[in-house]
Amino acid sequence: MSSESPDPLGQLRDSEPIAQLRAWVSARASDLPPGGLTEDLPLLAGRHLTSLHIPELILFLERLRRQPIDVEVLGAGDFRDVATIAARFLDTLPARTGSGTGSDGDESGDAR
Amino acid sequence: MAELTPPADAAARLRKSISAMAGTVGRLTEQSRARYRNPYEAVTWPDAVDPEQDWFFTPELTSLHGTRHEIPADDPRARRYAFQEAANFFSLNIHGEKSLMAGLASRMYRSDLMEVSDYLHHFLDEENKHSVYFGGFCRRYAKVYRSRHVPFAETADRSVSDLLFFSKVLLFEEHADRYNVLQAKDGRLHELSRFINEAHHADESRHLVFNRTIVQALWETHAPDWDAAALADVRTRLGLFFGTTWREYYNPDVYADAGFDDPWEVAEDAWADPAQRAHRRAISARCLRFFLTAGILEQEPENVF
Repeated sequence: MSSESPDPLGQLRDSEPIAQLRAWVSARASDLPPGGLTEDLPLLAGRHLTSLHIPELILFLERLRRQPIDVEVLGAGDFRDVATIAARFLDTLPARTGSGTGSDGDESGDAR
Repeated sequence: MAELTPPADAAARLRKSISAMAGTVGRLTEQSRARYRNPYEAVTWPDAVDPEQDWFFTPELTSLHGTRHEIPADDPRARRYAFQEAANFFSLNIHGEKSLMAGLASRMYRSDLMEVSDYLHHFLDEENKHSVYFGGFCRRYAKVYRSRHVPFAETADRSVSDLLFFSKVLLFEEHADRYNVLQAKDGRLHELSRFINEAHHADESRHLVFNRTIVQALWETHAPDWDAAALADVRTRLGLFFGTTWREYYNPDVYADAGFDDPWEVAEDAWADPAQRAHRRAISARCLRFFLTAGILEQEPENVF
C-alpha cells in the first residue's frame, strides 16, 4: 500500500510491513482523530491502544519480521507511536525519540 | 479512560462490602490452613523424564488439536510436542502468578481491604507454591517459555484498578483451572504432570470462590459511581483480557520447538480455526457466564470465540 498512505507526514519509508502495521493499529485503535492515524499519534498516552493490545502487537511484529522480540527489555516507550514501533522493530528510519523504558504510562491494572 | 472522582463514601462502602464477605473468607482461610502443603516435600522430582515416551499434556487440549497442523497421536513427534505444550502451560502460569502475586502484595493491609488480609496471605502463599511446582518442572526438564506481556505503570483510578485486577485474576485462574481439572484426572498423563495439575486445582478451587466474591463486591460497590464512558472502558478492557489470556495458549515458540517452519503462521491458523474457537468457548463458558450474569459484561468479547 503505500504510496496511497494517508499519513500526512510521510516520513516512514514505504514498505509492506509498515502498511500492515498501520492497518493493524488502525483496526484496533479507539477514538482516532479526524485526520486518522499518523505516524506520531501517541498511541498509549493518547489512550488509543492499551497495554492489553501489546502482546498481540508483539506477536504481529514478530510475524512481520520473522524473528522473536526480546520482551524483557521493552517498555511503554517502545510503542509510543507508529514511527517508534516501525523504527524499533521493523528497521525503518530512526524514531525521533529513544526507545526503551519510556513513561507513556498505561492504565490497565496490574494483573497482566 | 474517563477521569473518575471517587465519592467520599466509596471507601466506607467498600469496607462494608468486604465485611460482608467475612463468612466466606473465614471458611476459605480455615481450609487453606488445614490443607497447607510444603511444596518442597509434596513432590519427588524424577532425575529425568522422557518426553517422547510419556504424555505430559492432554492431547485433546493442545492448541493444534482439531486444526490442519495437528500432529496425530500415533506420530512419534506428538508426545514431544505435548510436552512442550505442558511447558508452555506451566510457563504462562508462572508469568500470570508473578503479576498476580505483585497485585495481591500491593493490596495487603490496605485499610479498606483489611478484613481479607488474612486470606490474602494464603492466596499469595499458595500462588508462590504453584510457581515452585511450575518452575521446578520447566527448569528441570524443559524451559520457561517467555511471556509477551510488557509491564506498564499503573495510573488508573484505584476502584477501576481493583475491579480489573481481580477480574483478570478470576478470568486467568478459571481458564487454567479447567485445564488442571481435566488433566489431573487424565490417566494417560505422567504422574508428575497429573500431580502438578491436581495440586494447582486443590488451591485454585478456593481462589475461584474468593475471586468471584470479591469481584461481585467491587462491582456492586463501584459501578454505580462510574459514568457510561468509564463502564464502557472497563468492559472493553475485560474483553481484551479474554483475548490476551487465550493468545498465550497459542505460542509460536512452542510451534518452533515442535519443528514448524513458520510458527507465527501456525499460531494464527490455530487461533482462527473453528475447532479451537469452539474449544475456547467451552473452556471460557463458566467465567463468561459469571461476567454476563453479574452485568459486568453485557456481551461476549469480540474476536475470541
